Amino acid sequence: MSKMNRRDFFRVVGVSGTAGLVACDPKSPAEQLYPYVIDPEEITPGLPTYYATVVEGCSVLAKVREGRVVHIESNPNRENAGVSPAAQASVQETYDPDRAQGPQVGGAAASWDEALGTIAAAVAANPAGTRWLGRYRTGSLQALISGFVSGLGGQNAHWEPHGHSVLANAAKIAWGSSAPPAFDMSGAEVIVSFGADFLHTWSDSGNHCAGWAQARSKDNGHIAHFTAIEPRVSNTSAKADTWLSTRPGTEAGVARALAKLVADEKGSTGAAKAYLAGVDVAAAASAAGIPEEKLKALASAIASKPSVVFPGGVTTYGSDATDLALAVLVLNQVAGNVGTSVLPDGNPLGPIHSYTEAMDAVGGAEVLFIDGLDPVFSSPSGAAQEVIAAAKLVVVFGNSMPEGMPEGTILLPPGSELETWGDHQLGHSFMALQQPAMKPLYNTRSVGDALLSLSKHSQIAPLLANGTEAVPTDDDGGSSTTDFAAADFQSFIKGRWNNMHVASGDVAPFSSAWVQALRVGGINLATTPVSAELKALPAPGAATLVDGTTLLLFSHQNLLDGRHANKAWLQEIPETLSGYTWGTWAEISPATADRLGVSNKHTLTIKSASGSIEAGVSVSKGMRDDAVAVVVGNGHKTGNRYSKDYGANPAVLVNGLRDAKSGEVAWLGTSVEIAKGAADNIMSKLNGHTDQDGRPLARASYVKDVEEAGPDAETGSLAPGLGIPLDPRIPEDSYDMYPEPEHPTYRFGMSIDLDSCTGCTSCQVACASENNIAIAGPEQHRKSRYMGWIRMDAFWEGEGDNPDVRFLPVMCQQCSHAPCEGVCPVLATYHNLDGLNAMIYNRCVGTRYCANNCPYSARRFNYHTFRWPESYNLMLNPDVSTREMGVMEKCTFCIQRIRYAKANHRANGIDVVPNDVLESLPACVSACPTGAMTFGNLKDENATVSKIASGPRAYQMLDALNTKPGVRYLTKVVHTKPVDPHHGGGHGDDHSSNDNH
Amino acid sequence: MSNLTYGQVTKDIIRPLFKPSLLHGLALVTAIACLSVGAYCWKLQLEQGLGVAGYEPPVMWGVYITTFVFWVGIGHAGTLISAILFLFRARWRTGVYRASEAMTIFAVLTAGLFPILHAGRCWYAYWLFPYPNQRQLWPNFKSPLVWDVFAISTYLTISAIFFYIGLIPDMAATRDKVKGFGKRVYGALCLGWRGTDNQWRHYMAAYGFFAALCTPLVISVHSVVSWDFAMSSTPGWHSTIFPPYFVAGAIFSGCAMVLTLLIPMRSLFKWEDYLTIWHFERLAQLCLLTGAILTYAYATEYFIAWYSDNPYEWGTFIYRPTGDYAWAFWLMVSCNCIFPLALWFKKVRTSLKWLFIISLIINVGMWFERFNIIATSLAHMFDPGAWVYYLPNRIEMGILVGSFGWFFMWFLLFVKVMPSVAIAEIKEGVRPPLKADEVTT
Repeated sequence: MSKMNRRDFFRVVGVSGTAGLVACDPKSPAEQLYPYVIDPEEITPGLPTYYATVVEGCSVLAKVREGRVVHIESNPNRENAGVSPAAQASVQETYDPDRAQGPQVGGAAASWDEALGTIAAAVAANPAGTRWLGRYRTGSLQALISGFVSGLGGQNAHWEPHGHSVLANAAKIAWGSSAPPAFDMSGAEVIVSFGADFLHTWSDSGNHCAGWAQARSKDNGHIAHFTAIEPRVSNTSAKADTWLSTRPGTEAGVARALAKLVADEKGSTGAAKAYLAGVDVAAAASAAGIPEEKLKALASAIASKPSVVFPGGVTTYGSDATDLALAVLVLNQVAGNVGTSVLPDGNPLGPIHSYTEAMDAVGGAEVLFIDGLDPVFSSPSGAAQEVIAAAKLVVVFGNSMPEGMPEGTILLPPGSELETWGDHQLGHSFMALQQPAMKPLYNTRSVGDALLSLSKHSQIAPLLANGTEAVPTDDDGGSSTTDFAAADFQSFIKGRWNNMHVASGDVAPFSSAWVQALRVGGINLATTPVSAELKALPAPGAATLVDGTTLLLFSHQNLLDGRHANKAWLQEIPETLSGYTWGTWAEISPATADRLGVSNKHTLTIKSASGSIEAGVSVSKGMRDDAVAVVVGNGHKTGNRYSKDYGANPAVLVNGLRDAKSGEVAWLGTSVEIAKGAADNIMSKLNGHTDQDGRPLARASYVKDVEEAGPDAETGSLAPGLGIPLDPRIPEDSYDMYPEPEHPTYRFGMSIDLDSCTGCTSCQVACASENNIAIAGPEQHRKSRYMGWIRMDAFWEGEGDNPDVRFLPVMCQQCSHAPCEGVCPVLATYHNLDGLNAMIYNRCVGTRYCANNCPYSARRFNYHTFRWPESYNLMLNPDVSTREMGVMEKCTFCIQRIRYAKANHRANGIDVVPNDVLESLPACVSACPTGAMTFGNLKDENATVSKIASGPRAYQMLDALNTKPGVRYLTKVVHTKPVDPHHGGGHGDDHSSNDNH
Repeated sequence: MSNLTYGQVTKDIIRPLFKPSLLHGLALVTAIACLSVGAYCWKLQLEQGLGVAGYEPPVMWGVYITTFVFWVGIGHAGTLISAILFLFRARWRTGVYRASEAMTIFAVLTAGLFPILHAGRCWYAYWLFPYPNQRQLWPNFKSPLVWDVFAISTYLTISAIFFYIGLIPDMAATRDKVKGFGKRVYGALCLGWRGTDNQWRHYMAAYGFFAALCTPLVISVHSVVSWDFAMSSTPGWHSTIFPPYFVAGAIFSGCAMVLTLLIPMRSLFKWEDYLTIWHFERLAQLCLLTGAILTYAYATEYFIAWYSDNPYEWGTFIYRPTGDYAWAFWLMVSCNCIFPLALWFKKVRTSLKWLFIISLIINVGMWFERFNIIATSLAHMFDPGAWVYYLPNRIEMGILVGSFGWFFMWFLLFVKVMPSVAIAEIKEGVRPPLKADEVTT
C-alpha cells in the first residue's frame, strides 16, 4: 500500500469504476431505433388515424397508432353511437398472444396450400357431403358460404346457442317473416319483457340501450314503465319498475293471458281472436303465481299507452319457447305495436336454424366446416358430438381450436375483424362495411378469403359451376350469382356493393359511393314500412314444469354464450349484478341460501340427470326459491390462457328437451338438485354490499315529482362555484378553510344519469383500453385488487316485485376540495387549473394515504408490476404510461385526450376547446351506449354538462363532505314512491338544493 | 438498599457485561432468527411488490401501519419515565428509567422501519424529507405524513441525546471497571467524565434542560401520529379525541412493555435489590390510570359517533363490535379494558407473575387497538359497494415477527454492553461511604 502514489490511486479508481459501470444493468441490451426509410403516406407518428369499420356487430371507428389498432371508438356517423364491451375487446382478439398464427392440420402448423389441399381432396371425394355449421352470417360472407356449399350440393346450417331461432320461427308462423322482428322502445311508455335480456345480451342491445334512454327521458315526453315478467332479475330486469316473478315455464301462459286481457279491452279479430279464445286468465295467473289484478292493471296500461313487449330469452325458453314468442307477438299485435315498436323482418341475421334443424342438416358429413362456433361446449346432450364424430374431416374457422374436436381437425384462423374485409347487415336499414384497420399480424385469412382460395383450388373449381349457380341470398344485394372468380374477398365484396349500387339507381359513380361508405362505415338501405297480418296460429303446447328446483341459465353479460371468454377485459370486469369475475356462479334466493346453509363464501353443487357442476354462490334477492340460475360463458376445457379452466360449463346439466315447435334446445326445463359444495368459494367477487344501508349514494326520484319539475337540462342556473349549498342556515363561505382553487378557463365536469345507466360495463372496458389499465387476474381479484378506474356499484333498494336496483358507476370525482390532495406527502397528486386531480405517477412514493382518504374509494394501487404478455403489449395506448408497482393511479377524465384536443385546437388558433368537441371526449363517455354520461366545461353555462348539472335531478355523491366533486349524478327515476333514504340521520348528504324526494 | 455499598452497586449492575449467560445467548439467537424471517419477507416484498402482503383495497393500510403505531406507542413510556417523572421528582423512576429509555430508542427505531416497509416504492421514501434538489420540489407540508416524519425524527434525535446524557456517568463507571480495548471505548464514549463537582453541576443542568425539552415531545409525537388518522375524512378516524386518546394509549402500552422487559431482566441479572416490588407496583398503577383513560376514550368515541348522527361514522362504530371484525374489537376491549382491572388488587400489583401476564395481555390488546382503528375503518368506508374484509397474511405476520426480532436484538445487545440500571442515580439512594464505616467493618 505504501507504494501507491496519487497517480496509481486514480488509475485503480478509474479502471474499477468504469468496470463497475459497465457491469451495471446487463439485462437491458442496447436497442436501436429505426426511422422510416420512406414515410408512409397520411401517417404522422404520434397522431392517430381512424377507420370506420364494424366489429362484433357494432359500427365503430378503429383508432390506429403507428399501424396498430389501439382503441375502438364509437362511430359518430351513426345515430345511437356507443360501443359494446365486446366490440372494444375485439382489440384483445387481435392481439391475443395465444391465437393460431397460421393454419393447423391435426394440431401441427401447416401452410395454407397444404391445409386447403387436404380439404379440397376431402371435398372432392364427395362434394355433396359438404356440411357447414356456423354462426349467423349476413352480407357478402353469407352469400359466399351459401354459394359455396350449395354449389357443391352440400348443406349449410346456422345456429347460435343463445340465438334467435325461436323468435324467427315464431315470426315465420305468425307473419310468414323471413327474419326475426326488431324492437324499438324509443316511443314506448310501457315496456314489458318476458325474459329477454334486451339491454345486454339479447339481440341488438346497442339499439335497445339507445331506445331505453329515449323511453326514459322526460325531455322526450315520457318516462316509460318497465315490467319484467320472468323468474329471475337479470341485468336488464334490474332496471324494471315492476318484477312479476313467474314460476319457471309458465311465462307463455302469462303472455297469452295478457294478450287476452289487452284484446278484451282493444278488441281483436281473426287469427288473434281465435288464438286467444280459450285463454283462462285466472288459471294462467295462478299457475305463474302472479296476482291477477297486476296482470289486469298491466294489460290496461298496454292497451291505453304506446307499448312494446319483448319475448323471452335463454332464461324463459323451455319446451314451449315458440309458444311464448308467438304469444308475445300476438300480444304486440293486439296492442297495436306491430309496425310501430315491433318491426317485422326488422332484424335480418341471415339464415337461422334451430339446434335440431342444424344437427339434422349437418349430420353425415364428409367434410364438416365449423365457422365461429364452439358447438361441443355450447350444446347439451351429445348431439353435436355425434355429428362431429361422424364427419370424415372437420375444418374449423377459428383463432383457436374449439372443444372436443377430433384428431386431424384442420384449423383455419380467420384473424380478427380488425385485420380483414367484410360487410354486415346491422338491423334492417344499415349495411356496414368492415375494412381492415391494420395489416394482419399473422398468416391468417378471413373466412371469405379462405373460401375463395378453396373454391379456386384445382380440385374444387370444376365442381362449382362458377358464377352461374343461382344462390339464395339473405338480402336484396342485387347479386344472384356467386363470383368465385373474385381475386380476393375484398373484390368479392366490392363486386356485390357495385351491384347493389347499380340496383339502387344512384347516378353517382360507384367509386365515390365506395369511398363514402368506407369513410362513414357503410350505407343506409332503403327501407319500406312494414306491417304484418297474423296468420292462423297453431294451438299452444303444454309447458314443461319442473317439480323441485328448476335450472335457469343466462348468458354472461360480456362473455355471452362463451364466445368472448378469451378476452381478458371481459373476464376482468365484474359482472354488474353479482360482481363476479373469471368464473361461473349460481344465483339462489336468500331463503334457499338459508335452507342450504350457504353464503357467497361457499360453492354450490348442482346436479341434474345428465351431469353436475360446482359453482360459486351468489345470493340474489332477484331469485325465486324454486329455481337456481347459472351463468353460461365460462368452463372452457380447451382454449387460450384467459378462457381455459375458469369456472364450469352448465350446458352439461341441460337435459335433451327441445322446444316442440322450433326444435331449439329448451334451456329451461331441467330439474336439478342443489347442495352445499365441498370447497370454499374462492372466486373473485368484487362488489361489496349490495345494500346502501340507508346511505344516500345512489339516489332516486319519484316519477311524479320528476314530471312536475323542470326539464332535466336547465339553462345556466348553476353558478360554476360548484359547491351545492349544504345547509342554508350556514353561510357558504364558512365551510372552507382553503380558498376555492383557480380555474381560469375550464372546470371539467361530468354528469351521469343513473336512470339511463344500464350497468353495461362499456365505460369500464373503454377506460381499460384507453388508459392501459392492468389486467390483474383472478388471484388479485380475490383480494379485491381490481385495477379498473370505474367501479360499478349495484345496490338493491327495493323488495319483492319492486327490485329498484341502482347501478352507480363511481370513478374519481375530480373534487375541487379533494381529500386525496392534501394528504399526499410528496404532492404526487394535485389540483390542476382545469379542475382535475392530476396524478404524477413518477412522483408517487406509494404511501396510499390518498386512497384511504378518498370517500369514493376511487383510487387504485399497483400492488405488483402488472405486465402484458407479448403481443398484448401492442394494444397499449402510447399516450398513457403504464404504471409500475408501488404507484397509485386513478381516473383523470382521460387527460391525454383533453391535452390532445387542446393542442389540436391551439394549433388551429382556437384557444378554448368548443363544447361539442368536449362533450364526449373521455373514453367512457364516448363509449356509453345510452348516452348516460356527458362531459364538458362547467365554467361554461352553455355547456350541456352545466345545464344537466343544474337540473332538478342532479346531485353530488357524498355532498355533505363538501369535497365539491366535478361529477354530478342524476337520480334514478322510480315509479314507486321511495322511502326517504335520509331517514335515520346524517346531517350530511341530505340537504342538497336538488332535493331528491 | 441500605446495606449496599457504592462498589457493590457498580459491581452488580455491570455484572451482565462480563458474564456470558446461556439464557441471554439463546434469547439473542431467537431474536435474530425472528429478524431473519422478517428480512426474508421484506425481500419477497421488494422483489414482487406490496401485493405479497394481504392488502385488500380499499384497506390500503394494514398490519404495517398498525405495527408502526404500536411501536411508536411503546416508544412513549421511556421518555415519559425518564423525563417527565424526573421533572416531577418521582423517585421510583430511578430503577427503571434506563431500561425504559433503551426500550424507547429501540422501539422508535423499529417504528421508523415501518413507513419504509409500507411504502409502495420505499426506495423513494427520502422524498418525504425537505432536502434541496435540482427539481426544486418540496414535500407537501399540509400532509400529516410529512408532520409524522418531522415528529418522529425529532423525537428520535432528542430521546437519543437524552439517553446518551444519562449514560455518561455510568459509562465512566464502566470504564473504570473494564480492561483492555473496552476501556478505550467506554473512555471515549463517556467524554472524559471524571465525576468532579464542576462536571456534576453542568451535567445536572443539561439533564434537566433535556428533560424539559423531551417532555413536550412525549405529548407531541403521538399526537402527530394520531393526526395521520384524525386529519382524514374516513369514518372512525375523523375525530378530535384522537391526540389525547393516542397519548394515553401509548403510555399504557409503553408501561406494559417496560413491565414485560424488566420482570425477566430482574430475575436474569439478579437485580432484586434494585428493581423492587415497589417499582413494579408504581408501574402497575400507571397502567391502571392510563388504562382507565383509554376506556373512557373508547366510550367517548362511541358517544360522539352516536351523538353526531352521522350515518357513516355511526355505521363504522356499529360495524366494529358487530361486524366481521367483532373478534378483534372484543379482543381489544377485553385486553385493554377488562383484564387490566385486576390491577386494582394489591395482590396482583405486587405479584410479578401476574404483572407479567397482564403486561403481555396489554401488549396484545394495544396492537389490536391500532388494528381495529385502521382495518375496520378502511374496510367499511362511505360506499358499501367497496366494503371488504381484510385479514393479514403470512408475509405481514412475518414482518411483524421480524420487527420484534429487530427490537429485541437491539435491546439484548444493549443490556450486554451498557449498564441497564442507572448506577449514578442508584448511588444517590445508597448511604454514602463514611470514614466510620471503614473502622467498624
